[in-house]
Amino acid sequence: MEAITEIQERMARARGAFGEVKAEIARVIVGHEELIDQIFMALVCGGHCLLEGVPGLGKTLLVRTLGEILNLSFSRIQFTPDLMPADITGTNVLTDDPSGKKLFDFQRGPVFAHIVLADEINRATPKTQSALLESMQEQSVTVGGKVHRLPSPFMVLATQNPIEMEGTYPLPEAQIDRFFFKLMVRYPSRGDLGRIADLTTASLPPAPDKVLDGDGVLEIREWVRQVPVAEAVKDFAVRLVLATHPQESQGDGALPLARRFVLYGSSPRGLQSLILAAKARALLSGRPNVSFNDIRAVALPALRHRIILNLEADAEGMSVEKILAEALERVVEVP
Amino acid sequence: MSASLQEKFSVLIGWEKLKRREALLISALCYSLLFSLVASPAAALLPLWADPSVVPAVIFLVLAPALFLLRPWRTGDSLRAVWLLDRTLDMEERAITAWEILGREKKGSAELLVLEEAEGRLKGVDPKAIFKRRLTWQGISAPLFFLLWLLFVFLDDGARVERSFKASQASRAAAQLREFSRQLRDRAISQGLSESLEMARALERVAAERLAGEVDEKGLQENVAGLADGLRGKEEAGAGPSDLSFAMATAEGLLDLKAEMEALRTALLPDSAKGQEGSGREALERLGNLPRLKEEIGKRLPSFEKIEAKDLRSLLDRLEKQVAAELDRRTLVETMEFLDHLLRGMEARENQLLTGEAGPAEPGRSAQVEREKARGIFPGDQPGTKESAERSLPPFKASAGAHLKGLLGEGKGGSLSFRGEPKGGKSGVSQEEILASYRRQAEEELASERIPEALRETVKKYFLSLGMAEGKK
Repeated sequence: MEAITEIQERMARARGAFGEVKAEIARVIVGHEELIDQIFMALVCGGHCLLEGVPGLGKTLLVRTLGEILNLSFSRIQFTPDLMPADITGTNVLTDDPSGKKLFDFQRGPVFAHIVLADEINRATPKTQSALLESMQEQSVTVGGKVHRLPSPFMVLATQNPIEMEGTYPLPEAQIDRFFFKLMVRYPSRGDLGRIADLTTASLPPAPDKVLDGDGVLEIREWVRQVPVAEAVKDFAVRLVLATHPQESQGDGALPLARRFVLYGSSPRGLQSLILAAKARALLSGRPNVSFNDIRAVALPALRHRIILNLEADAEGMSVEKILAEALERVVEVP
Repeated sequence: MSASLQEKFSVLIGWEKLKRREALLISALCYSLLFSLVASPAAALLPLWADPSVVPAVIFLVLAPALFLLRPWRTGDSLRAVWLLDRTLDMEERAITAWEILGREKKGSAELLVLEEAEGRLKGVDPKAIFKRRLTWQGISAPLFFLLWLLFVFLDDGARVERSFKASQASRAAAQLREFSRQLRDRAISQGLSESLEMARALERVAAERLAGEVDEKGLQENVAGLADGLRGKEEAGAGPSDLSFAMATAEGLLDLKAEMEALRTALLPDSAKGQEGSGREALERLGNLPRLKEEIGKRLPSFEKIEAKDLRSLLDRLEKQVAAELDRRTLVETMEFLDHLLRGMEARENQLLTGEAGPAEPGRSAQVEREKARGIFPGDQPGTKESAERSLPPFKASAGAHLKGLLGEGKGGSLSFRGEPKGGKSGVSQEEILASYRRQAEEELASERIPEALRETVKKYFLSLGMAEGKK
């Protein structure tokens, strides 16, 4: 068994690494502090993120910078309607060996990277989407009956453009549920815009330093899972997830907005994401255990894409954020 | 490390449990007093034996256990206490996590780190100082309710005493009536007074109705007044004794006369050896020793020496009826006087309560005053008077012989003297009954062979002389 001091050291290392990553990213990316935190949390939890934001907010730059700082390979896939699954996963290509024999050589697709940015995933056909989603789930690619493992750590950041939805193939809810977080990329503030202008229109910023590597990320992933969580805190997360359901039989009783506007509440994957993300947050904050505030902080990104609203919600203009806000307000920490 | 942390949590949870118990007891007390105050107008409906001042205690004894049963200390309460500690000290759930980890068998390094950090944060923390007792509205209200309740009890107590006094007064009159009816019944039976016996039964019925609560005080008064009026009417219609020769005779004289008639009747009993004629002669001889009877017979039959036995017997029957009727009349007169006296007492008490003067003093004291005022109806009913000087008691001579001088001569006598203070009050046995019993015993002794034949007349004369002495008085 490890000594307490070792635990304390690795906590300090994790926190330190996180701080350094944030600092390096801040040299290149303006704003998006919360987004960066959440992406890093998802990374150390082994999850994938769905980013939603209008074009030009720096999503690609962010992900690429993250890959550079973490010394992880990065690839970007621009999804278009004519994109084929093989364009993502790779395919067998007929080549000649040195002796001149014809053989099939597997050419890896762009998915074979540590960090993959799937841009506008909703533009591709469902078949192509499923190819990526399958690789997200299995962390491997099967081509021609042969399984090819994807590198570890492996993370997909998929984006959806909330405008220009014509001719798109929105991801089905069941597929969206596989994403660890759904993150909203907000438009930068006035001050941030000014800084963006300064940063990008003057001399090119220096390349960020590599502060962590893949092994370091995997190590942190392991530490995250060891963070203790009290039964009361876990019970709070459970009641929070149940509060998103419309049926009164779930949890302590359906909340008014959920009862009226929710068609389906969060799945158990939402609870897994909630607790893992809370553990990551506790670790990266330098705390030895998960707190109620950790759960609250990660509730929105972990659950917002897992709640399906009904038509009345569309008609009333009700959003998932409001429903989750009600749940966070009314579900007590200790009953 | 774990031990000190465990102890810290134990102190915290023990403290919260204590506060909970106190809060429940205060709540029970507050609600008991509040309910008693709200329900105080209904206290008049309680029976007299039920003291309304114990109502809050009774409610408390029921409510307190119920509250403890409804709100037992559960694991969730302990969790809440620890959670509150977390929030108060901003420990970010280190306390709750540590508290749970302490209950686990296996603890990893990460758990140990939590324990260490929690212990560090809780070092020097006194849960009692952080979570002090808070004054709830029940705690503030309970003393006020208590004071109000005390005031209500104080004000209500006078009313209850008054009601209790009224009830005791009413029942006392009925008890007196019942006692009198029993004495009357015993007397009527012993003296053979049929009308008095009937009256005694009627009085007992009236008393029983009141004591059983079948009639109220007013009803008792009406019944008693009715009986008294009935007796008065009878007395006025009868207008005096049935025989004028009895007018001056005392009750004791009439009883003596009755005893003499019994003695003579015994002598008139037919003797198989002597025959009818012989018993008549014997009866006349015996009549010589029965002065009262002889006088009465002489008044009715101046020359009775030659009377025959059957005539004597019928004369005795007539005399006996007359004596019984006179005794009956006198007893009924005394009964009427008693009923009048009882009615006066009841009216006086009623007026006293209505006007509120002197108030219902202690029932015992009032009864004592009444006893002192009331005249004794029967012999032995006179209350004993307290003599100013202490009576010197005769020296105690247990079984010691004494020298007496009697009619025949002097001789030794034996006596037993008992030291004691006579107490005034009603005797349990009527004097008439005792005298009649003594006379019968004396007659039986005379008729027995234990007394020598030569001394029988002497002994008989002695007993009869006692009656003559009283008649002269």
